[in-house]
Parts: sequence; C-alpha cells; structure tokens
Amino acid sequence: MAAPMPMDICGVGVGAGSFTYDEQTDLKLKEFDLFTSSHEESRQVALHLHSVGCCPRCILRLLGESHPSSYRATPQDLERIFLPKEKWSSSSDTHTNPCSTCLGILQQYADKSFFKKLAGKVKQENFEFHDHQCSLILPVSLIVRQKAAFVDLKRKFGDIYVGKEERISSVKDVWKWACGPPVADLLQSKFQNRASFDILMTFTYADSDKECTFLLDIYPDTFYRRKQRKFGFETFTRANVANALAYTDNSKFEDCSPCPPPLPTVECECTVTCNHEAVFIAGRYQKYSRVLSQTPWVIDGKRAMEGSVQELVCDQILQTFRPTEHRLSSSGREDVDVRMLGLGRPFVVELINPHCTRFSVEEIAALQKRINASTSDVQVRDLQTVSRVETEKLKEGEIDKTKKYSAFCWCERELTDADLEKLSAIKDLTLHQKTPLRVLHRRTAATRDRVVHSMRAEKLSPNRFKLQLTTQAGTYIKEFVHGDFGRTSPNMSELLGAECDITDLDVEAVDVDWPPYIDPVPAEDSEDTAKSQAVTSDTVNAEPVPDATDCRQTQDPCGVTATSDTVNAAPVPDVTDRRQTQDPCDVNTAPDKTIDCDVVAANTNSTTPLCGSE
Amino acid sequence: MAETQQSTNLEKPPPGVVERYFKKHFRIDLKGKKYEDQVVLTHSNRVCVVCIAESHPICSEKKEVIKVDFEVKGSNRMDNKMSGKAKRGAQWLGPTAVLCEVTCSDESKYTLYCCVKGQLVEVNENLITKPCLLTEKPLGAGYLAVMLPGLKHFDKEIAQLMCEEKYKKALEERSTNVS
Repeated sequence: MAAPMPMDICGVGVGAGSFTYDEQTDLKLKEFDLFTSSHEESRQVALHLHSVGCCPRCILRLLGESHPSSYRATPQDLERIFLPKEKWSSSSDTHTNPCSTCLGILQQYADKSFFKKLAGKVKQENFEFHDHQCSLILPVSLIVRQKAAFVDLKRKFGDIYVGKEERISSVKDVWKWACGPPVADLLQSKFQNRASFDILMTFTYADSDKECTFLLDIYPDTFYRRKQRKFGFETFTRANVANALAYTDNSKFEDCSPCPPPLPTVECECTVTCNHEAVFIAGRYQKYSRVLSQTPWVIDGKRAMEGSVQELVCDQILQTFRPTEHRLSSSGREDVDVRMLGLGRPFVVELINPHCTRFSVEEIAALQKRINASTSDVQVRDLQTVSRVETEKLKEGEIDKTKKYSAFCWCERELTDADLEKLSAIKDLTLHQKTPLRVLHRRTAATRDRVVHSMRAEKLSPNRFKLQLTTQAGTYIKEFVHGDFGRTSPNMSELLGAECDITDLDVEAVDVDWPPYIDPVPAEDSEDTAKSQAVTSDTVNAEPVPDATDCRQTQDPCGVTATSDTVNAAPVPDVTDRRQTQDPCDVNTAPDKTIDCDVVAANTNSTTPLCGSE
Repeated sequence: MAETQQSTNLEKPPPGVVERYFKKHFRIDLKGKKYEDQVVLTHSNRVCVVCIAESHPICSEKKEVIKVDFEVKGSNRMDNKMSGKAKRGAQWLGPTAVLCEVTCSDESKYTLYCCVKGQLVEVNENLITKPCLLTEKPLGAGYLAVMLPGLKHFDKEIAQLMCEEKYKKALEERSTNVS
C-alpha cells in the first residue's frame, strides 16, 4: 500500500502545503475537460493515483478526459501539469514499474522506441498499404484492474465519481489517440478507424488469469474450465469477465479483489501481426486440355496429375498480390477430361492477406496477359477485382442457370435422319438422375430431376455423332448419354433404342452474367446475340469473318456486352481472339494442341487457325 | 453386341462404361451351388455394383426371368432409408447376405447375394417391373445393387473376391471337367 494520503495538500502556487507545483501549468490544466471541479481537486486525485502506481496517461484518463487531442501531450508534460515537482520522474527512473491500471500499455508500449519497433516490424512484413487501422487485444485482467481503480476512486472521492464509470476513456482508445498520429507518421500511411490493412497488437500478461480467479468463487457457474477447443480452453474471456463485473456491486468487489489495483510484478508482452483484408479477383477461364483437373489432384500425398486449372490461373495472381492463402471458386466445375470452351467459366479467387492490393485496370490487364502467356491449356478473360458482396453472384447462378455442351457420342447402330430429327425435336425433357456412381461415394444418394432444354444431333460418321445440348445446371451429361446402368432415365440409349456412349465432352457456355465482360464478346449466330447490349467501341473496325476456320479476331458490333466505361478504361489488347469459334464442326479435330500460346503475347493480329479444317 | 450392319460400315466400338471405369471381381459357386457365379464391378471410388455373372445358369442357360424379389426372410432390401453423404441408416450387409430371389419361367428359383460387406446403397428397382433386364444387360441396366464398403475395409473386402484372370481359369477348368 502507498503512503497515507496527506489530506492538506492544496495545489496552487509555489510551496503551498508540503508540495510545490509549477504555476505555469494552471493554464494547461484549464484546457482539460475533467470530472473534477477545481484544479486543487484534480491535483488531489492525480496525486492519489500517482501514489497507487498510475502512469500519467492513466491519471488523465481516470480524471475523465475524453478529448483525443489532450492525449497528444507527452507523459512528461502531463506529470508536470498534474504532479508536484517532488514527484516528477527523473530520466533515470522512468518505466521502472508498469502502471497499475494499464499494465504499461500507455507507457512503454506508447513511446517512441516502441513506435520504432512497431514500424520496423510492419515494414519487415512488406505490405503495400496507404492507410491502416490499429487493433489491440488487451489482457483480460485489465478490466478487473480498471474496476479496482474506479472502486478505489469512488471510495476516496465519492462525489466526483458518481455515475462516471462508463465515461472513463478506455485504454484502447487512449492508445489510439496518443499513438495513432506518431505511428502513422512513421509508417507514412493514413491512420483510420476502419481500413483494410490492420496492425494487430496482442498484449499478453502472465498474471491475467491469476488476477481473475476470485471470480471463480463468486460465479462458479459462469466460470468453469472450458472443454471445447473453440474457446481455446479459456476460462476468462473479455466478454464473461466484463459481464460478471457489471453485475458485481462495488462493496462485494472490494471484498474479493484488492482496490486500488496492486502494482504489477510482471510486464506485458506485445506481439504484432499485420493483416490485409481479403481481395477478390474474378474472371472467366477457358480450358483446352483433357488431362487437367480443376484443383490439384493428390492421392496419398502423390500427384495423380501434373498441374491444375487452379494452379495455372492462380500462380501469376499470387505472384502479383502475394497473399498468404488463396481459394479458387467457380460457377460449377468440369471433369478432368472435359474442355471448357466458349467464353469460359466464371471464377473468383479469394486472396487472403494479400501484401499488394492496389492495381490499375491496366495492371490487371497485364496480369491477365501474363497468365495467358504462361500456358496454352488454360486461358483467362475478363479478369478484374471485385468486392466480397459481388462474389455471391457467382454461386447464385450455379443452380438456376443453363449450360451448353457439345458431347461426342457413339451409338451401336448407324444413326438415321429420323433419329437426328427425333433428337432435335426434343424440348424441355425432364431427366431423373440417380446420383452417378462415380460421385456416389461423396454425394447424397438421391434421384434428382434435371431438364434438358434442347438438343441438336449431328452425324459425324456412321456410328458417331455430335450432340449439342442446353441443359439446366447440375445435369450430369455423361450419365445422360451412357445411362449409368440405367440410373439416369430417360437416357440416350433409351431415346435411340440402342446402346450409346460418350467419348468426349466440351462445355460450350456457362450462362452466368457475372463478372462483367471486359474483353470483347464475339457474336454468336444464335439467339444469344439478342441478349448482348450493343456498345459503341473503337474495336468495331472490321466486318465479321464468316470463315469458321479463321481465328475470331474481329468483333461484331453487337457482340460486346460491357459497360462502356470499362471498355474505355481498359483498352485491353484482345486476348480472346484465340478463342474457339462457335462453328460446330471445329471441335472434333485434335482438340488439345490447337492453340498456339505464343501468339497471344507476341502478336494479337495473328490468325492462327484454332479449329481444324473440316 | 447386336450389330447387324455391314462390317465395312461399322466402327470399332470404344471401350464401354464398364471397361473404362470398373474392375471386375467374382464370387463363384456361391453357397456351394454349382456355377452360381456373381460379379462385382468396383469403381476406384470404392462403389461396388453387384451383378449376375454371365456364367450363372440364369444367363448361360438363357432362362427367362419372370420375377425378382428383394424381400428376403422378412426384411425387404428395398426398405432401405438413408440420409446424407455418409448414407446413414443404410443396411450394413455381409458378403453372404441374401440380396434377392429370382424366379424363372421354368419355375427354377435362384438366390443372389451381396458378395461384399458394406452399406447397401441401392437396389435396382427397375428389375421389379422389367425382370428381363437381368439377362438382357447383366452388366448394365440389369445390375442388382450398389454396395459401398467402408473406407478402411475396401481393399480387404475386394481381396476376398476372385480376380478376372482366376475367374477365366476357373471357367476353363469347368469346361474341361465337363468334357
């Protein structure tokens, strides 16, 4: 316990009572907005708080100051304002004891040398940021100490503190008021209340649990050893301690926990971590390989297949944004042996804790070019950054949208013209699909109804035909053709009355209108064109090329769906010109090696034939 | 294959679904009854499709199946409710559990078995309305049931079945014994 309080101190003027105050500080004292009604009162409270081990900032805080700017004053200044000369700390004995109410968080963790360490640590993490927020996780027992300090003050200076408990500024706020600006200067970044870049300081205090143990006796039901890992086996959390203390009246508290709070015997430790809010990057991918899985395929720790769509799409993105983790999601997925043609499949990459985030539209376009130059198996278009909210549109479209496919089929008998007509006449055929055997091990067993909206069959040879289908999303096409042991019904075998099988499958279109188109959308000779909005664009400079074997490099005037500003803002060199054209006869020849990747990067005017000559 | 067209006009069929995705494993002379063979098609994802083997008298003697009954000894194999990815509630059956009884037009009756230990995921209900599927497409639409052995037991269960090579040898031995 501190020395007994001299009750006769009265502060004004030199040599009043047994203490001397610096007269000049009276003016400064006036600037504060405190609970007390006179300078003498303020100095009395301050002296008491000093005697129980409070640091200058906590003195100001517990006196009721709540103006952020007041906390710009250094602790030395505050000492000179509130304390008599006899109590001023000399330079040699600063920081000998952590403050009893903030545990040093407003002392050694709020001074220049700590700022330097903090800034050094943040810079070492190598993030690119222009504004930041600071978060503090404080030891739980700080709540107990704050309560103890208040109970003590109320006991000593009752009138001043009636009804004031809620109005005392928190350690967290005071740290931000005092340290926010100098730290921001060091980081050359703007300090904000909310920013996407977060500097998190976690303060741990070894005695924290010990100082809370008295609560176990008062509220054994609230505080029990937690068995769930979820809570990190913590008995005392900020929430339950704050809650319990709110229900404890002051006299009860006084009986159980020392008031004022005792001087801490150990110091707080502080760990600093940096985190940037996730960034989302969306686009569409086309896949031209039949030996490429969507995600890395690993069986018992061994690669079953080299590469994956995920890796090919993400590698360059990761090098650019440098996140610590990432996740690719897409609007559905295709099998390893299925190609994704047309405009591609919408996808989003969630970049968790990215180190670089600010990129211009041009830089993203350049990133897309790098991805496309790195591989010929996968091509990306419409690459753009999007907000978290927008990404929901990706999954919304998964169920109710339609998909278009080209299936290469075999039939045990030769197809007749009547067969072809019969298939083409089918509209909105409802299939009953039992969960396919190939996914039955990981999917619920059920019979699902899926609709084939339309079909068009085209004979390629006596036993082979190409089937173009538009179906509801979620239809298993392979099973529709081969029947999956009769578990999909009706199926092609039933429709044709002869065994059918599927040899190859291409996805031609995933009709999800998201993300917005950036790269030009080539016109299709179908009703889809009507959906596209006409956009005046400087790319409209050539007439449509009817030749199916020609690489589609020109854009039809009505083919571009994009808001005009994105088109203008992003004069993306046309990467899509190497897309497969929509001609039905292109796909059956040498599917995998038709795309010459080098052409994209080097020369957009190239007319590399994508499609085989028919 | 029932291909009746001119051979010049015909293409070699591509490997079928069974060849592409499944391996065949057998149990022969089930319960000691001569030639009563069954085949289990195993997928790499451990799904097992239980079928009748072509060497089974029903097939080899070209019998006409008139009834397939999944109600055995008071418990109905079709009475199999399950939920979720884990197929909770599905009947766990052993390799010798009876799957169904088949009645042929010559009044002969045969009992078919599960062949592997696992969850009964599905029985082929089409066989009830179209029993002829059993002989028309024994390794296709005429399958009997789908079984799913436990993740840890799959390899062990399959090891207890006869591989295709041994099965063919067994068939050869049979024909030499007969002659």
